[in-house]
Amino acid sequence: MPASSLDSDFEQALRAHLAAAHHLARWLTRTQADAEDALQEAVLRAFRSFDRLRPASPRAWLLHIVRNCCYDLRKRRERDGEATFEEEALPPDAASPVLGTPAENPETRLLRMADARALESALRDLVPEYREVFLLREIEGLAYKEIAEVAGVPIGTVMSRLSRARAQLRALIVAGEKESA
Amino acid sequence: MTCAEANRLIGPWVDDELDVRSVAELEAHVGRCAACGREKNELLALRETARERLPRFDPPPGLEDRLLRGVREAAAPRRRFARRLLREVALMAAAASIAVAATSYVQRSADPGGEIVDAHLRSLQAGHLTDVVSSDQHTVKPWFQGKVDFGVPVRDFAAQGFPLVGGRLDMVGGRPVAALVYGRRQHLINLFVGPATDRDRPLRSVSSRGYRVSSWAQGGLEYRLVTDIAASEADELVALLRAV
Repeated sequence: MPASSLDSDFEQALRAHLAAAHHLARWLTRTQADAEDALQEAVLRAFRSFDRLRPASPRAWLLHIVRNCCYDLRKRRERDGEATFEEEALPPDAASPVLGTPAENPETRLLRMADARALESALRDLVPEYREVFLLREIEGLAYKEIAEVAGVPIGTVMSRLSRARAQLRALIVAGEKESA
Repeated sequence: MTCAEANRLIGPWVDDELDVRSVAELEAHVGRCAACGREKNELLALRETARERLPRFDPPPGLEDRLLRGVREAAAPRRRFARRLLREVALMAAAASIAVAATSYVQRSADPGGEIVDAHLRSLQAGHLTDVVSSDQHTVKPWFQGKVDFGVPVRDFAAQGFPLVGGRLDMVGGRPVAALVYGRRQHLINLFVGPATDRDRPLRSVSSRGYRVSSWAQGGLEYRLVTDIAASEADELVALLRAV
């Protein structure tokens, strides 16, 4: 009896979307260890329901479970009295800022010049509900409909969260750049 | 189009989520309005910067293997549990074969669950309970393929206290059916699944010789569950099975 073979469709789905799942978990938790804990829990949950559900969009379905596990972990950490804001520090960024074209207005230029650290700290300052829609849209390239599935909210909510996320990010980056200028 | 209207649509526009007509109107507006044009450029600049510079957290090497190993480990103890349960019911099986002998004399022409209870009792005789022993639904389900001409939905309910023990082929009323075996403490539950003769049928439960028989038809399949556990517990499993 092939006792330890996992359903190959499940393995395939996991393999195909592991990078996106890991990336999201890393952004929704504080440390690599937390991200991996949340991922392990998510993969177990996903495995248990995969055969029954046969999700139409395995990516959105997997990311939805990953996201929920990350939120559960955050809640647990908050309950345990651990600070949730001290995220793991990134190594300093060596990339030099790219200069905007001369025709651009100052805000657009500041956005283009923002370095990785400024960008990351601004993104970490957002509430996770805004952070995730921004990441899913701009980095993972998901359509609104898929983001709605991942976050478990209607498309209208995705649109308003995305709009607020972008507005807050721009404000944070511009304020940060002006301060350091 | 006013600036307020345009502003609301610029996000969906850069995200390619806008219909063609609104795109045309928005393009016309942005061509005339510098402020809305700046808004669009800022959103695009933010995206570009995020894509180029945001740290990309790639999975560390071996993560996938670690995650899959975790899944296998979580599944393994339940298989051991299923084997232990099987050993424990071997004694019961001996007792049950006596019950079969005793009840075969009972007249039951008017007993609607009789045939099913017979099949249940037959299964409890040593060596006949399962052809495939596994608590893993991904092992049991494919086992039926090619043995019966219908898809057998196999689900494990260990988390709810009804671990899957295994499955076998059986004959009920002269027709081949799939039998799934679940455990409940020291008790066993037989679930017979076969093609439905007509459309969906609501749940009906009868008692026969101390066994509870629940039957229903759903999604083209006929289900008959027989067990000697308490009616309330049997109903619990029936509810789990009927939930899609």
